[in-house]
Amino acid sequence: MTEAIQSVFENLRLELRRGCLILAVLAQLREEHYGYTLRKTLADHGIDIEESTLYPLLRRLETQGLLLSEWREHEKRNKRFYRLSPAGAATLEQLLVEWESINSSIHQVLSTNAQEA
Amino acid sequence: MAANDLLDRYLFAVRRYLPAYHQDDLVAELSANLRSQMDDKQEQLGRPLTEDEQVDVVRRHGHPILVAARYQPQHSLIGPEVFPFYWFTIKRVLPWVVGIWLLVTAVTIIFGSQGVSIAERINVGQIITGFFGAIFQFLAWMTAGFALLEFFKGHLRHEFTRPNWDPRKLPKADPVAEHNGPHHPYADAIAGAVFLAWLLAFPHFPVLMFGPYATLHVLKIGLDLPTIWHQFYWLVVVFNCIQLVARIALLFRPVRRYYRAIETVLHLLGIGIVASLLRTHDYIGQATFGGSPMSPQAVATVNSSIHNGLLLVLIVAIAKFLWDTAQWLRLRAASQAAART
Repeated sequence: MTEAIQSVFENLRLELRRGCLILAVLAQLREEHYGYTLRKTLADHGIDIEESTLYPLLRRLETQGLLLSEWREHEKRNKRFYRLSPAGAATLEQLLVEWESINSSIHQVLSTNAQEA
Repeated sequence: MAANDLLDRYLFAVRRYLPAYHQDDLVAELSANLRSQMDDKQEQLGRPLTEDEQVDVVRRHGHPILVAARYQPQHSLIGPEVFPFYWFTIKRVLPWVVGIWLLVTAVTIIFGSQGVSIAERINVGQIITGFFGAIFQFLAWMTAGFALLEFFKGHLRHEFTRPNWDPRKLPKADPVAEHNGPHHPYADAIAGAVFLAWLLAFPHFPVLMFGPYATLHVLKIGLDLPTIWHQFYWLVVVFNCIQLVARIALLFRPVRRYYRAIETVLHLLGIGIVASLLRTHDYIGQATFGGSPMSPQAVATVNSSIHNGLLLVLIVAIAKFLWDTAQWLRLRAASQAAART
């Protein structure tokens, strides 16, 4: 693969991942987490996300009203815990429906292509 | 280096670039996350982290400037919707600004300080600085104007994003029609208004033309210019007024059927204005010099150079007019032939 194509692939991969990461974060925050454990849990599920991406994303989602947060002492240290707000839960449900629909459409396209080939 | 010291340094550096009103909160959160990460790694290894391992954790977190930048709200002075208009207006108006600046600079050098030879009036340093000053001022005013437009552009976004926009109202995909209507009618009108305002303002505010060097005597516009230049200035003003009226009229779709005729009239008027300057061979006028040391031969050379320069401009303008007309006729013929088949 040439360098230019590799660079195009990287850009497309990032675009594809961006929306999925938000979905994954919202889904994971149905349970309460603070930044580091959230990142670790996502990584355990195969979703690697950089700290410099995740932590600002949490703030943005909170500003948008999709997350709630509170400072609490945990293991002798103050940590900011995040969880899905009621609006976030509703939005997550809508996003999941959308994601399922896209996923199933893509599978249909791929299977049609495979049959024609 | 102790882990605390390393983290403190890092967080201190990040804090400097964070939005002021969230600094404490964000730094506390980053600190808790980084410390948890180090504790976790320490637990996995069953021993305290070495300095290199601590450095690695912090390095992976990202450079302080980049980390802080992610927390900044996204700003843009001119967004993607307004930028094409901004760029188009600059491209349209900048050559005029440069052209008029060159003309006025040449005239002010020729008619500048009396009793000083032309060679002494030419100060290359001041001319270059004045030129870039004028360009900089022009770009600054344009940017400020379009930034304001960006700020108040709610209605523009509404216009582009309203769900009931009608694709049937888009212009016909026809190369002849391309030549039969303005490409960017709003940008044309804005550019025309900005340019006319500048044209009317600069004789009263030379700073608009020369920047900070307007205060220097050598670049002050003389009041003893030959009449032809005064006539030329007002002809250009009148021409731009007519052009602005035409540009505003062209914002209305029914008027656009006359676009070709309007453009032709404007082209011919422009050519006429340049031609009007060729009526004379005296662009300097003795009256402006008084006790000037300039010899009659030098006066004749300057007059001849200006005359020949204007003649060249006229030839180029006529050639462009003929080329545009020929292109339009060719496309119209091709379109009519295609319609018949």
